Amino acid sequence: MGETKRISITLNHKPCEIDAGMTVSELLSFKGFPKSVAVFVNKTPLLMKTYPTYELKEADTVIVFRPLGGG
Amino acid sequence: MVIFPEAKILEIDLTSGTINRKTLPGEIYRLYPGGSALGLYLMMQDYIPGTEALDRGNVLVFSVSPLTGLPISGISRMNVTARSPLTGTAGDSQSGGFIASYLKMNGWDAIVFKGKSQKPVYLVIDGNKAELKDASHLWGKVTGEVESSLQDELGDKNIEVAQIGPAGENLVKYACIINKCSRANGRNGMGAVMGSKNLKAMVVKKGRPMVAADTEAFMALARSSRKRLEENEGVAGLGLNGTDGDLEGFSDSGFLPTRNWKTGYFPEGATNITGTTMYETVLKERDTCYACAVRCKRVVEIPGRVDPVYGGPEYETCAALGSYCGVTDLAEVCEANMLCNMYGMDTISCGATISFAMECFEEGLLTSEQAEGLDLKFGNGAAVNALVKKIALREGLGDLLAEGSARASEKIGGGSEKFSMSVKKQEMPAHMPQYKPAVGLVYAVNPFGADHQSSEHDVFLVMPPDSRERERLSKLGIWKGYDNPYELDAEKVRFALDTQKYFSVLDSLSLCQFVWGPSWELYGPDELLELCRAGLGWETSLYELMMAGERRINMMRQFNAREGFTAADDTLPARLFEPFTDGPAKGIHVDRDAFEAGKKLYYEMAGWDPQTGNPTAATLKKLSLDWLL
Repeated sequence: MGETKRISITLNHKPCEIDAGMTVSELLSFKGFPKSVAVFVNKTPLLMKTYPTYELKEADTVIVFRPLGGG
Repeated sequence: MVIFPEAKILEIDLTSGTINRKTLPGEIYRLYPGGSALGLYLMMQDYIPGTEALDRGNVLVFSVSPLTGLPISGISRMNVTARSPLTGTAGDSQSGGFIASYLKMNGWDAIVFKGKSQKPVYLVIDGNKAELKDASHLWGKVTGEVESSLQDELGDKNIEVAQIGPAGENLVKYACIINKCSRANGRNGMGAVMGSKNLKAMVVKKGRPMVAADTEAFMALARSSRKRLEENEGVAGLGLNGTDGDLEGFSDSGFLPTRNWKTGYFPEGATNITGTTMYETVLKERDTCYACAVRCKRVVEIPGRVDPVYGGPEYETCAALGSYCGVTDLAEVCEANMLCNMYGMDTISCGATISFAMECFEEGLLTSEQAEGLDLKFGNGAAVNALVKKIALREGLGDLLAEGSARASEKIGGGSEKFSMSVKKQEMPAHMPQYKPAVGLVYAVNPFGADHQSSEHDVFLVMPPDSRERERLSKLGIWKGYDNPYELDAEKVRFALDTQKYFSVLDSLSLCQFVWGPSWELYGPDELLELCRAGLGWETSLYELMMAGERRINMMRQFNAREGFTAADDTLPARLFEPFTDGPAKGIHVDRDAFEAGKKLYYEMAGWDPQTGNPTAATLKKLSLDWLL
């Protein structure tokens, strides 16, 4: 078995290395984000239903926005 | 068609000691369907315009709704209404716990207090019986002692007690009303109104459980809470880590009010005082309100220092008594929270007023002599806690700070008014308008001062269109999505106003906004209609509910107009318009032009006079409020 290929992306303005083929859902899980977040890839907003299938690519710029509340 | 129930009201004249039982016909009750709307309606029947908040002529109303006491999550909120001594506006505050449900189980929708007792008294409600008793022996005692004494005195451990602490007795402008020693009608100084009437406590005995109109449908809705919790990680996280769960996230984003709002970044302390740290260190147990599955309430314990009887701090408390004051030690914050609950003070206004004093001290506007030797530098938690007690007892500098930051700045002078982070003299809660400008707009126009629980927050419009949040919000209106929360445009103004109407009806139906709100919460707008139908047999519509919410806001606004409030009072502190100079949010600020344009548009959308900011005659007539003209 060969080594998993790694790719570089930018996540919330910071460089980040992930496995090639990682989906948005996997990224959220990998980085400990909750599922209820907004995700923008290269400034394009994604629908939530695409998170499990949307594969990230080399040099993608990803913004994960977590709505913050409290009372 | 089900006839809307009549409201049953106890009216207590504290001056004469007489108690009357009254009813409000269902056709009127339906216009003001409980909680804040009912309280305001009843208060305005007897309140004479121009009466000062701490005068015996002020009218104090505790109120619930026809839904209160049904066994389902988020159903047990108690409203208190009176003219506010802090803001001078119509005052309003809600609390959780069990007492609201107990009140309804005893058959009552509202308790109206008028006049002033010659000596301290407390009221006991037991079914149709109501009795005023001497409270002289309780005066001066802290809340834990009083609750325990009343349980012994009445021989009943199953009572619920809404009471004031020494702060309310001493007329601290932001004194609150506490039940269960840990749940507060915190805002607007309702505890001072109670103190001004020599009313120490209201005791409610347990009553018969409420029964839904359509038991089967109601139980299906109630039982769905478990599955909903499993599927809603936002609400599940709220239950696990409490309202403080996002505090660190706020700092990481650059929007946690810190050192009297000079910055939004608190890297040196946020991890220490965030909800996950509380969970891992000092949390004794999670507590709940009547019939609620969420269990977001905290009970913390630090042996020898923090008594679990007084619950635990919410997000607002951790911010106001923590980051606002630069305090990095969770134990200090927990102790400050305990002191506020013991003495009966709103943790937001208390913490914010102390942070105001700290900035005055650091800027040389308060001397060491005035501070009576306290080193009021940001970060000194011991000094914060010392000041909490001084404020409650009106000792030394505490006497000045008991008036709130805005009034204190008038005495201190030297330009200190710019350090008062308040709107209509009420200190701002910990959601920064730089991050949530629609919330900021509501801070400004809200009739009873800055409030974070009066509208939905901007951040949910950043969520994808197929998210739960956006799907639910679409029931109230269709809004475009945003790629960040910082903009304030016409869409956001409409969002602010329409969600404000929805939150307003939640405060009227006495429902918890974390359970019944319009976006991320446990139940959404569809389920709210089902709750009204199955719970009460009330075949209502979102239109009727939104109108009820709008009616309440306009009643308050008209109350304020009579007291001389105008558009000039709908402002935000100048600091919010200055860009952050550090942290992840560096450069971000509230755009003044967008804010002013937004305020004007809000007035027009609300049907208010663009010059005065007050409701027009046509708007009042549209809302069946002709009687206010």
